[in-house]
Amino acid sequence: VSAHTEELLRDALVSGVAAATESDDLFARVQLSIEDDRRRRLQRRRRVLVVSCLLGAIAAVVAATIDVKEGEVLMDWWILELLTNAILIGLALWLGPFIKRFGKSYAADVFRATPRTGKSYVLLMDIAYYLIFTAYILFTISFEPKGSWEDTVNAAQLQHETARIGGIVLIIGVLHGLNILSLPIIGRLFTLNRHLDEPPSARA
Amino acid sequence: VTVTYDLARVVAGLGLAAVLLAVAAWLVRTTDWRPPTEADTPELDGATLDDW
Repeated sequence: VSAHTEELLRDALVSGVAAATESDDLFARVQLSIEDDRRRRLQRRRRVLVVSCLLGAIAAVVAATIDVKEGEVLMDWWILELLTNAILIGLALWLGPFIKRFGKSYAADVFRATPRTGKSYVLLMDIAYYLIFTAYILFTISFEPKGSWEDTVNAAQLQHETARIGGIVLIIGVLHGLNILSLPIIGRLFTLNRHLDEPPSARA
Repeated sequence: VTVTYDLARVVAGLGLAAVLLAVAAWLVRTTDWRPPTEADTPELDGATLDDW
């Protein structure tokens, strides 16, 4: 019985191999996939290191500029203001390329019929993004302590600075969401426009 | 209430922050951040914008 089963199995495998067509680029694709995987692992490790360095730098600045008096931790108001601005600028520089990295293939798919328009759209969105960030920082920056602030950091200032960071994250999040939702409609409109501009003979 | 600064601590702290920022910048510059090949967008990248 086992010899018969073995024979059946061998026949099935041999006919399976005979039916399979050899792929010319299989080796190259496997090689690329291994390289991609290796690169992704390295990127992940480097990303953790970069974030650790940035957090360490913020901690070092905080440790250098605080003063402990009678058990209270004190910091000049303007140092927290500067730190918040630095964090906002860092967020802008990181978030822009991060969104673009994942959004590019989405835009490429939406604008597959009009790649030039797609490229132009991505570029214009980049400009809009940095304009929004710059305007937000300039609108919310403080050159002197506000109403209930003191010369040293207090709860009111801490709440204000936290709200500044939360505010920009919310604005970019909402705009990004709207962009994702409206992009397919815009892409479709461009494709339809192009189709309508073509002479009737070319459409068929 | 005023904050008093210890010069040695300020210099050491800011120096360490500068070194850490430099290391972060070096890591960012020397890493290959290319997305995986399945995320390639050759049509979009290949498109030329004449006026830019």
